[in-house]
Formats: sequence, C-alpha cells, structure tokens
Amino acid sequence: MGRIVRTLVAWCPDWPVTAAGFEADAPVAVAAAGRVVACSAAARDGGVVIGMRRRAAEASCAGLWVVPRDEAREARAFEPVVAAVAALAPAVETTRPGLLSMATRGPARYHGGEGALRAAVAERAAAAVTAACGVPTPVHVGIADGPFAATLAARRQMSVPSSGTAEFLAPFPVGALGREGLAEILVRLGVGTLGAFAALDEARVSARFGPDGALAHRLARGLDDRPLRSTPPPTELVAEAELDPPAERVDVVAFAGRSLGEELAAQLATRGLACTLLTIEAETEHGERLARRWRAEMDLDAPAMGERLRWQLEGWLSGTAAEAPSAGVTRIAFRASETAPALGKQAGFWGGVSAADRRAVRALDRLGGMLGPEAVFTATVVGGRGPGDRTALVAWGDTRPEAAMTAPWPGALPDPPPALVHRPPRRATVTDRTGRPVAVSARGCLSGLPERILVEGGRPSAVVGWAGPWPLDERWWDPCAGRRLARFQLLDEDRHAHLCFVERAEWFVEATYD
Amino acid sequence: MLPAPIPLAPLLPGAGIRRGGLVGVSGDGGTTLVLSLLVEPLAQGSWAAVVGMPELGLEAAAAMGVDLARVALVPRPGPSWAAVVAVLLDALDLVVVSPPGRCRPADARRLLARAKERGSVLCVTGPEGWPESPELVLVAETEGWEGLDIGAGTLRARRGRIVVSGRRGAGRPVVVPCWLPGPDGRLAARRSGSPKAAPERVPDEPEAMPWAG
Repeated sequence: MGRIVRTLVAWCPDWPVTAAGFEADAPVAVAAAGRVVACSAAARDGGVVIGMRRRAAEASCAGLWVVPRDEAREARAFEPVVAAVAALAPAVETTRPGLLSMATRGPARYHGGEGALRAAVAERAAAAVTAACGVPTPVHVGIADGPFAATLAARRQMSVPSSGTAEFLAPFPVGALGREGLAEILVRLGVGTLGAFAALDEARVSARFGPDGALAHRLARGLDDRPLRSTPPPTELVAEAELDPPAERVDVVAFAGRSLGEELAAQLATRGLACTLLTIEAETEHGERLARRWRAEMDLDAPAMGERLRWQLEGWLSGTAAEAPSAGVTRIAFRASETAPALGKQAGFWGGVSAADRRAVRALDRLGGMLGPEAVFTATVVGGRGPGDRTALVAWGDTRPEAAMTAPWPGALPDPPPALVHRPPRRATVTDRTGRPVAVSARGCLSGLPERILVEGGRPSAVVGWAGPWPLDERWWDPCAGRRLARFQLLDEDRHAHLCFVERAEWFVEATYD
Repeated sequence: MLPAPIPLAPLLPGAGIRRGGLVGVSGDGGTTLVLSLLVEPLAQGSWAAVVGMPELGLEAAAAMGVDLARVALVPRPGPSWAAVVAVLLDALDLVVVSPPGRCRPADARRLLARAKERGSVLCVTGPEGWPESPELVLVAETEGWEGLDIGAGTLRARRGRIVVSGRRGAGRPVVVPCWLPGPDGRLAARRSGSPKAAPERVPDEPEAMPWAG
C-alpha cells in the first residue's frame, strides 16, 4: 500500500458564475452550446440543473440571466487566486479554473496545524476572488487523505481525519466518482453509494470494469493511490521552445505550445507513460518566470496541455495577476512532473483513426506552422439566418464545437443554399421600369418592380425572375448589432441567380447561386 | 480512382477520377460542380482541401453532403500558395485550388509531379490561368432555374449541363444534363437534355416555406 498524501483542496463553488462577476444570490446561468454548464445558488433554487437546455432553464427560473461561457475569462480570474495560495505554500496544483490542491504535510507544520492552514488558505483565496471578480464569494477548503476525498471534503468545508476517510466517503452517491458510464451501471445494479461500491470484491470489480473501474474502486475505499501509481518520471521529460520574436499575445504562445504538447505526448507515448502532473513554465525577455503545476485525473494529452497553457497565460499576460510580466514571452516549456503507466488508452482524432486521417492531420499541422495560426480552417455548421451565418470557420487545431444545430431555424433562407457567399457583400443597383432604384418601405412594400440589375463591376442585365422582399429585423434590442433589411432572390437574363438585400435603401448582392 | 458523382461516373473510364491527375472545373455553376466532386471521396474516408476560395458557400457544401470535418480550408494562402498546395497534395486525396492569377509553368509541373507521385488529385477552378491542359475538363452550363417567378416562388433547382472533355474523357465532348443542384441541394441526374423537350417536373413536392407567416 502506498503512502496516501494528506491533501488540501480549495474549491470556488460555481466558478464560471463568479468569474463572470455575479454573486451567488443573483439568478445566473452560464451556458455553452445551448446548455447550462454552471449556475448560481439562486438559479439552482429556481430549478436550474446543469446540463439543462438553455430554454428550459429560462422557463423554469423567472428572471434568469444567461451569460455565454468564456473559459479564457475563467482562467484569467483564477490566476490571482492561485498566486495568492501559492504565497502560502509553493507546491500548488491547479486541476481546473476554480479548483486547486496542495499537499498539506509541509505547509501545515509551517502554519501551525491543518486547521490554521485551512483558515489561512480560505482567507487568502477569498480575498483574491473578491479582488479579481469584484464579488465577495467564500472559497470552500477541505483536507482529507488524497485529492478525491479532499475534493468532497471541500464541498462540506471540513477536515476529514486520516482514520475516517472510508466512513466519510461511504454515504456519497457513486456519481461523485465523476465517471458517468460507471455510475449508471452501478446504480442499475443497485449499488448507489460509494460505501456499497467499496464493499464489492476488488478482483471482481477489476474483472468487470477494467483498470479504470479498479481505480474508481480504490477511490471509493478511500485509498486514493495516486502517489502509488503516479511518480516522478525516470528521466526528465521536457519539451521546450524559444520564442523569437518574443510573443505578447496569448494566441501566439498557445500556437507554439501546440507542437510542444505533441512533442511531450510523443515522448510519453514511447515510454508507455501518461502525464498526471504537468508543469508549465513561461519566461519573459526580462527574466520573469511563471511556473504552474496542473493536475489531471487521468491523462493529459496534447490538446489538454495546450488548453492549460492557454489558461495559465490568459491569467498571466492579461495583467489581472499581481505579477503581470513586463515583456513578451521568450521561452515556454512543458514538463511532465509526475507520470503513471498509460492504461492502454490511445488518444484518437475524431473517433476512428485511419492512416489517411493521421497523414492529413500531420500535413495540416505542418501547414499551420508554415502559415501561422489563422490561416488553415475547418468549417462547422452553426445556427443563423443569413447565408454566411450558418457556418463558422474554426482555426485548425482548435476544438470544433459540436454541430448541434440540426434543429430548424425560423427565418432561415429557403434551400438550396448559395454556393458563393460574397464577403463583403457586393454593391448593386436594382431599378424599376422608370429607372429609379427600387426601395422597400418600413411595411415591406416595394416602390416598383425590379426590372434591371447592375452588380458592381459587371454589366447591367434584365431581371427575369424575383422573389421577396423577405424582411429581417434581427437583434433589434442591440443598437450596435441590430440590423433591419429585406432579402430578395433575383434571376437575371444571363441566368445568374443572386441573393440580394436592401439595407438603408442600398442594394447589395450577398451571395450567388453559382 | 477517386469516386465521381453519380451523373458523371458512367462517362469516365473506371467510373472515377484517376489519382495523380489534373482536373479543370469552370463555367456557370462551377462552384456547385466542384463541391459535388468532394462528396463521394470524403464519404469514403478521404480528406480534401480547398485553397484560395474565401467566398465558398460552406452551407451549400454541407447541404450537398460534403463532410465538413474532413475539409481543410485555406481561404487566403498568400503569395506562397503553390507551396501550400504542395504540402496538401502530399497528404490529402483531393486538393481544389483557385489560383490567384496565372500560375508559373514550373510550379504547375512541380505540383502535377507531386500529385502523380502521391496519388492525389489536383482540381483547378478557372483552368484558363493554368499552363498545362487538364486531363479531365468539366464545364458547367446553366439552362435555367426552377421555382422562381416574377415576384413569386423561390429558387429551387437549376437545370444544368456538364460538358465533359479532355484527354481522359471521351473522344469528343459529352454533355450530361443534370440538376445543379436539385431541390435537396445535391447534384443529380436529369433525364432530358433538350431545352425544347416538354418541361420536366422538378422532383419532390415543394415544402412549406418556413419563413412564410
């Protein structure tokens, strides 16, 4: 049996809400891709549940304020909290924005006991949160054996004695393990609590649920064996890069970090290791350094490393941290500080990976390196009304949002969609029989029937078919983003079909059915 | 061989587009035609790239059945576009490029040699600026549009033709009547090629227009 590390966990409840600058008693939900990902206590009392559709949440809780998720903001706001806690004890590990942990053994002695350490961390962290987000929010701190139990202890704001870990864990539901599939099966088998799960025979759990199930079983028994399995790597595993010229923007550094992540992941893969504690170091031209340690439950793959680098830099470079750097970043390094044997899990791109996929991904990575971060894209279908609004370009290497917009979009244009979308729209002149420009009144009436069209840079042509006006009054509540326009389809005598719109009495061709 | 869209497949030797070749696409409706070339290869696991076409209607591509997750887009490749295409030809099966201006003969030869070596297909839109003659030339032509009237209806389908020629095509140009696209947004075969023939009904009943009312 390995030594179990006494761990302190500091947890900011509903961090996305706090980071957005809202207090717990305001009914606020944070949504991403149409679903609630976090909500305030007041919203929870109003019946909002995480994972709910945004519409359903708005329906169930009167006066609910929904803000879009901004992970960069969450990371930015959390960096001062990490810095404040790191002033008390150096070896702070961030699991994700809103959750950090540290080993208590040394710091507890220094600060005069676990109780004193807990109080000091809670006070410093709460002060940092208040300063960073502008809302007084308590930070929950718990101490227990191992990070898993300590995280649950933080929710209860208590310190669990070494001998009482298993009893403390027993009443929690199996969902607390954070493994949805496993929890679902266990509940169906009639095993509802961690205590009941812990009572099962270890060998049988291992046979039925594999290595991950066995790990979950150990967690449930209070044997958080991370130190047993996760050790400093036998050799130094580092990937580092010099940035020349020094980078001042997060996206530039993050872009360089991507290939670095791949490099470290490749080093780990050849040794059959998975990274469980990643140290990210950044150094500026003036010699300022920032090192942060990131803890991961299972395995940090290359995209996850890149994401953490981005989180860390967002906080550092944006200057909300007390120690904002005075110059651009010149060096970044990923260091695998602790590793564990890889559990036979291979990271895949988009499900099944063929040789063609691997080749394509490598070539596109290479191309991204040649051209810079904003040159290679893939597209994804999103919601919208206009011809260019319904697809979004995603820079190569960024996470593709799920194509969730299969639902009908009222007010969208009739199919088939145009094959050419002009950016920006081309100016045009559309005139009626008398040669006057066709105008559309506020009530959607035409001043005359379209007879001729002249697209900028082309030659005039007679209109042989048209449809419209289809008025659109979009985002009228926002004086900057609001638009009022009327769309038309126009077919000219050369059989060119255009999608046009009139806005403020001017005609534009926004797309062509080529 | 890369699979070709249904209306074209019977006309091509081997029912597909030969790997290592150069395809030229142009004409009125060429964008729709070039998108339709992507559908089948992507469905079979290939990857494709589109270089130098910032105005491509991606929604139209999705409606035609193009798997956008497997299409890399380089809308503005800049002056080093030939190097970009070379990298893409190395790894992807189909690379569509709209050359920004005339292509240098040396670049064209190098790219075609690369495509031959790697077994990928280079597809050029607007092949007039390309120094080498493509082995397969597809020219889209528009006969007319269905569904749009004076102040009524909406565009639903285009009666089009594809003229197939080139060294690898038949001896003389072959004209394929087709829907470019049909009402479902896809390229489909059309029975009659003659515009004089009795007006053919557009397949599928018009659906209720979602924006009306």
